[in-house]
Amino acid sequence: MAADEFWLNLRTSASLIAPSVSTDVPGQNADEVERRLREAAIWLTPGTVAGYDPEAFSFLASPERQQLSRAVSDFLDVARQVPGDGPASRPQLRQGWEAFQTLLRLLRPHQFTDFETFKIQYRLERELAGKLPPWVEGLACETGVDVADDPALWIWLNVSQEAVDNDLVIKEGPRVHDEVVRAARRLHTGRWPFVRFRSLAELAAAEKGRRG
Amino acid sequence: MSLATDLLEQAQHLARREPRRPKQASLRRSVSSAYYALFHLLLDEASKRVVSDAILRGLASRAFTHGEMYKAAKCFASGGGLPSHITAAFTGTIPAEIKQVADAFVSLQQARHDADYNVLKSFTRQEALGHVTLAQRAFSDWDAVKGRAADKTAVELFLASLLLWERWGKR
Repeated sequence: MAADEFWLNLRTSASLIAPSVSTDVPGQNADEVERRLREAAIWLTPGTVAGYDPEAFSFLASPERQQLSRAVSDFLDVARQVPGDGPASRPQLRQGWEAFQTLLRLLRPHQFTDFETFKIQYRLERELAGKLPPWVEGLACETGVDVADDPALWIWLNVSQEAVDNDLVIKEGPRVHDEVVRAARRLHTGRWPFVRFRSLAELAAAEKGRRG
Repeated sequence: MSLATDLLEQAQHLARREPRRPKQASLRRSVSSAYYALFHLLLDEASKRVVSDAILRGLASRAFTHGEMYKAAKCFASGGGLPSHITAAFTGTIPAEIKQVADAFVSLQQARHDADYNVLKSFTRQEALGHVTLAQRAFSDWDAVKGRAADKTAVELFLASLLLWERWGKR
């Protein structure tokens, strides 16, 4: 499937820049990013967006779909100009990075191992827009198989410290659980939805404790 | 107190056993206990309908398997309709409480599997509490529906399906 190929290419290139591509990490300023890019301009090739098929992204909202198509087009324009036997120029790096950043912002390839999971999460976030309480700060989808080897979808709801302090998972959790399950079923993903609550602060502490 | 309610209470206790830094062992056992609480509740209810003798009931309950119960519960929870060999005999509707109990059973069995076998995963208290709360609601739902005369057949169908799902499917 072209979308899977595109996703893999984009994700591979994203991982060449930094293990977790992000420009809002504290202490990572623009100069540092640019320095890294100069050292690893291997991402600035047409192969980064190979397999892109606009049809595969028809589920995106119209403005995002247009931004994506333009970013892919802009990226290709620059990538094709970079000589195969030499480094990219500073303007090429800058233009390429601009388009690449748009791709990363729209598609978040560092968060999703495959295209399907991104698609499900994107659609679920839209389906649930305005329906979750403020104490659910975000969600993260994972795909896999369940105990019966059937396709499954795990939907992690990240809860706030306020929720932890006030037992909101106990008081309101079942209602939120049902809302998310209903939304997931409306998407007809063919995957059984499993809704789970977690506090990212608690998770970080647990992971730290596990590593000793 | 029944085994089921004792297990549910234990699940609650373990989820909060360490106030500051919960031990993974406590959280995992909490999740596992939440599942087994619901498992034994349904086993007890189903077995009572098969045999009246308390000793024989213990024997009957051993005929239930986790995997078969999981498959049956998935079908009841999905809301997508029951298979034709069942609708040929049952034309009523499945009450919302049974769907919720079935959904909780599926969710908790998967969680139990992770809690008992997936050592790469870290549990948080909020996750454990979410599972315990789901089990508590399943208990309430069950209490609400089991005695309702209008839903007697649906209740019996659900309980029988937990035992006979695969054999019925082969006919």
